[in-house]
Amino acid sequence: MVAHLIRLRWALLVNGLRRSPWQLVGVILGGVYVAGLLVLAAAGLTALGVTAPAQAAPLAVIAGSLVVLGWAVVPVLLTGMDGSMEPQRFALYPIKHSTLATGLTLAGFVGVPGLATLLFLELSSLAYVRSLLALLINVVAAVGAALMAQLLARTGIAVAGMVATRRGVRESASVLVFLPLFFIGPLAGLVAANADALLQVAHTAAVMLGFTPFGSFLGIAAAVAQGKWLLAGAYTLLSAGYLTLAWWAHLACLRRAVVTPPRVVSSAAAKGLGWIGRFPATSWGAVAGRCLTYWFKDPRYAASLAMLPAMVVLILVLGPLTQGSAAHGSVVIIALVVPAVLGFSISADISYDSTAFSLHLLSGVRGMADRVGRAVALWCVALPLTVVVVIVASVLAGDPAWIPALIGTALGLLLCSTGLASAASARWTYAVPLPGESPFKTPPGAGARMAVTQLALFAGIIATALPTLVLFAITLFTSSVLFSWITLVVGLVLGAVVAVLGVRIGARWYDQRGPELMQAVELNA
Amino acid sequence: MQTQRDAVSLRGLVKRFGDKVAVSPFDLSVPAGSFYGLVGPNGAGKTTTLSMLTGLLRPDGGAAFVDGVDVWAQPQQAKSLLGVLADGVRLFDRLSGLQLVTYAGRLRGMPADEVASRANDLLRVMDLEADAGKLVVDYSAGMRKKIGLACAMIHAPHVLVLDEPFEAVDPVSAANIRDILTQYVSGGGTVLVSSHVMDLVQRMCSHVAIISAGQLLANGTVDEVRAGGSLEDRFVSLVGGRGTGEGLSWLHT
Repeated sequence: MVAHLIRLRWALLVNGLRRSPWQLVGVILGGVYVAGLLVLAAAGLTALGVTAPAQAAPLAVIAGSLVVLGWAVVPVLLTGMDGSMEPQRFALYPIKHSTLATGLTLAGFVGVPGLATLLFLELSSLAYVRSLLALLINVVAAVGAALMAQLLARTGIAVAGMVATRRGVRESASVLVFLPLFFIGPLAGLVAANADALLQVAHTAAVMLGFTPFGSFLGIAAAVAQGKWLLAGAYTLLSAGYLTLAWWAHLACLRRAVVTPPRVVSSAAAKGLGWIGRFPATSWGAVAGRCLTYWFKDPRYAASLAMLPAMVVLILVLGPLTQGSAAHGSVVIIALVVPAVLGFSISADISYDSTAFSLHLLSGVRGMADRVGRAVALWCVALPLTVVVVIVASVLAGDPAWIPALIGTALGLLLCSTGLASAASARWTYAVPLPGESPFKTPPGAGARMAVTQLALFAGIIATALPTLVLFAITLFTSSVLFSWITLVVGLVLGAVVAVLGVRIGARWYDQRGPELMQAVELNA
Repeated sequence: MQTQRDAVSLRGLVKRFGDKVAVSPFDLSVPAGSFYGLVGPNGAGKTTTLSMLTGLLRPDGGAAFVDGVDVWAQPQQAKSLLGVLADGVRLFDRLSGLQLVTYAGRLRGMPADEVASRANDLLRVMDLEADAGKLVVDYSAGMRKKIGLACAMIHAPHVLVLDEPFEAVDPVSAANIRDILTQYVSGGGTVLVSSHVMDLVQRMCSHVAIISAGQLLANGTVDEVRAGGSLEDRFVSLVGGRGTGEGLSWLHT
């Protein structure tokens, strides 16, 4: 049965990729990228293991623990998890719960992230090339650590699914991901202070991590390599305990999941026309009203807003920590990420519509009306947020000369990203979580796909907004009022040109390829 | 010319998906003011044909006309004449019923007051008034069909193209929908409807076309096609594929 479940996972993966070549490209790109990282990590650890085993061991423990921690945190807060092997789907089959739990956990290794994690943890054994016993122990313990990672991820998702029935929970939780970033500043100072202290910190950190569920397995070999047998024994016991606990938690969640049908919570009724009534009674007005409704009612859109509070907090925390004009400049630059990223959020708009897009096509909506409507809805959300972030950054920046340049660059970036996203979303569609599906679910290959699109779009934004960005940089370094105002004008004009061009190109593509877009979203459905 | 008098006219539409021919070229004329049924087994190409007629799926060849307007040459004009209930597509279900119908009207650029009064009328005849403020995501399958039908009718189209409108609809709602459609036809409208339910088609439609494996097997008035027998018998004899009656010998308790 367990073998069946693993084969099922493999078949689902292969069939999913067969259906959409872009997903395959995503998986391959992701795979190549990860393979490259693994080779680098293996080479580095081997080199360090030969030349400086005392430093290699804590490094291996810390890196491995971070990977395991990543499994506990990232799926819950950021990426979600492929839902094709949810326990609920097996509710109708007479499978023993423990068998199902084993099968699903092991099936988690089928796929790029699961396999890469296992390989990385195994490869971290290379840090102990000078001590055969520790190496062998780590080869065994790495399997335990990889299992731990799977169990943590699954339990985390299950628990999050129970808690986060209300959207908003996840968004606020996403802020936690950025918390470690706050410590980068002080930490960087520490590194500069002296390297010996850092080595000491690494040693202590590795020993401490060994006591946590994330590093207990990996600590064993490190302790053995250093001849600390007592510590190694303690880690082994802890590991067994943690794994048993995680197993029981996972089993409990699974037991609960298979007898709990997906919750159908009736949404609150909507009075009157809502946002649709507040826009002019035209095609674009209707599209804008509908999209704005979705911004507030569809959890998938909220994901693009998730990083905003985090960004503001980041600015607020980093601002006081940094000293000097250049450092303040870096705080200001963070503020510019917000408008750039917000514009992206409509780059998958038609994919989010899924087959409901047919209504637009059947009604003969013009490409222009569709593109403009979606852009207007985005701006209703993005403009106030951009203004808030710019104000916060301006207050912190301390140099009033920067303010016009900051406004011009922020709005210019928002305009550029809106234009690029308007064009891109009329041409390319992606596999996204379907309407009503949990944003915790992600189709395989979606992560790499998202990374590629985001990179391409970011490159596009930087390319189109380059003159503005250069002027902004000059303003930062010279604090020249003249350049600041030039930046404002150039940013707005250039942004407007890109936005208009993007919307027009998108509208033309939309008019030419409406039926092809429809087929593409049907394929994803 | 014949095309001028036909509400819908299909001229050799073809669709291939890879090696598989989903729809082979055939000609079909739907006279204005008729209640036309399109029947066929699962996978016969009904939805594919209707998608090519309504502008959802680009055909590999052939043409489709609505009131003499070429759907693929003048899509805007053709789409303003058509009202479509597509099968197997989602609705914008985060909107309430009232919002969705209003959305459908305003997408077509209709004035706000006209949309408002028609939306209320449609919700009333569809018996959805009480649920107008409920989100469509919380609607039952039958209610979704009804709200989809309302969206298809808000702009008073000349031709209604309905793909499986009675699937998952309870008998009372189905009878109400049938009344609405019959009224629409007697007012000069034309309905092209696909269905699996032969009985319903025989009672409701004036004309019928039987397609199977992407080919047109028979078409004409219902009486012509059924040729004295029941439509179901005629359908089965044309399409074939009835089992031999040998059951699952192990399936008993």
